[in-house]
Amino acid sequence: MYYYIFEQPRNGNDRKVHDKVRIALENNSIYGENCVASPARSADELTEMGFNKGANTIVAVGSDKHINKIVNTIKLLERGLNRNVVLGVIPTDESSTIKERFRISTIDDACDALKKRRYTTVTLGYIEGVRYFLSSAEMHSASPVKISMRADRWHSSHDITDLIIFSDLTFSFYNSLGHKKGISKLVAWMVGGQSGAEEISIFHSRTLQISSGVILPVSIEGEVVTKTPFIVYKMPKALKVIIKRDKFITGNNVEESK
Amino acid sequence: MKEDEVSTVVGSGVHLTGTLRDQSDIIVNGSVEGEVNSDQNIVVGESAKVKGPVNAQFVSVSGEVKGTITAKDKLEIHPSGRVEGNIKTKDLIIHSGACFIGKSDMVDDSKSSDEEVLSADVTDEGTKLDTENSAEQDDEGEKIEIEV
Repeated sequence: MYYYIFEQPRNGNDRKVHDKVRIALENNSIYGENCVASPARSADELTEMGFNKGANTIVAVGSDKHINKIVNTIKLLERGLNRNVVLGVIPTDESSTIKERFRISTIDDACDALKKRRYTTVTLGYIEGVRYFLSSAEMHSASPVKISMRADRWHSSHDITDLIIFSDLTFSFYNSLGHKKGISKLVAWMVGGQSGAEEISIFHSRTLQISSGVILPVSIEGEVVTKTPFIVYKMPKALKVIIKRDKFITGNNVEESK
Repeated sequence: MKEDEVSTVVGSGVHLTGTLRDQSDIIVNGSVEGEVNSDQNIVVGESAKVKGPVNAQFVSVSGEVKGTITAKDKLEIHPSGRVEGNIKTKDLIIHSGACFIGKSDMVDDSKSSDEEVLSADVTDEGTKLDTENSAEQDDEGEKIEIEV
């Protein structure tokens, strides 16, 4: 059974997008139970309800923030109930990185993927005791802050302004030193490969321990989830996700689907 | 290796202690105290300082390396590069202006037993082999001082 969890619409435009999704699902004859998150019933509660109803596929419809929340709840429930479900995603934000990662260009694309039900097992990031995430965790500071990092086999300490950790624990940091476009430079590097910006660092790890001189908030898709110090783990093959094509991008790497 | 895999990059201004290991390329623009190992290429940028062994298929040095370099395929030391340590490679390029202090072990696939040992100090002035004054024989082969 497909169990669709729509994000609470923020405006009329969101409602129109949701209607479009419902029509696309109907056209593709992908039926299931629909529910919409609200202050009365959060996405977390709805995910739990889907689990209890025995849904084998939970489909998150909405922004990356909404999708990440559902991913986290699924993982927590899977751990507690010892039962796995498959995640389907219909990203509705234009700027969605999850959309980019799974190479979904339109709502119809996402629905088509759900219909074909081709899935792969993806790597998730896990901030210890706090959150699982599918996209990325970020830290930003207006002025450089002394950060200590301990990865698998090395440690370092330096001043940074921006840090981004992808779910496959590829992480990158930057000291903008007055350059206002620090993070966009960093994202450009990640998307477009080597930009020649010598200040940007990129690493891969299985665990990453971060502490800072000043306490800094850590956010996932704009939502503050924890603060420094924290530990992040790479959780390989942690979640089954329905994908569109035979290839998709994991953080910054391309993986084959099954 | 996965397609489109992102390299490891040590940014300028970053000082790292420990072992850096990656299946894909490693680019060092900051400083590393410890081993740097890659299954592919290692690029030591102009502003980089590495203190420790460097191992890869291809190693390009434009900065400073104090330690042994093992480049299975090729080692290139650029004009701004400085290497203090022994090197082992199949194909060696030292550009004019580069500095190399150490012994070179040239690995030859066809004659794997043959070894060429070379100690070179390269400057901008041109290349000169000073075999008369400083050439020495040791167990590993002829030691040659090069001044450029």
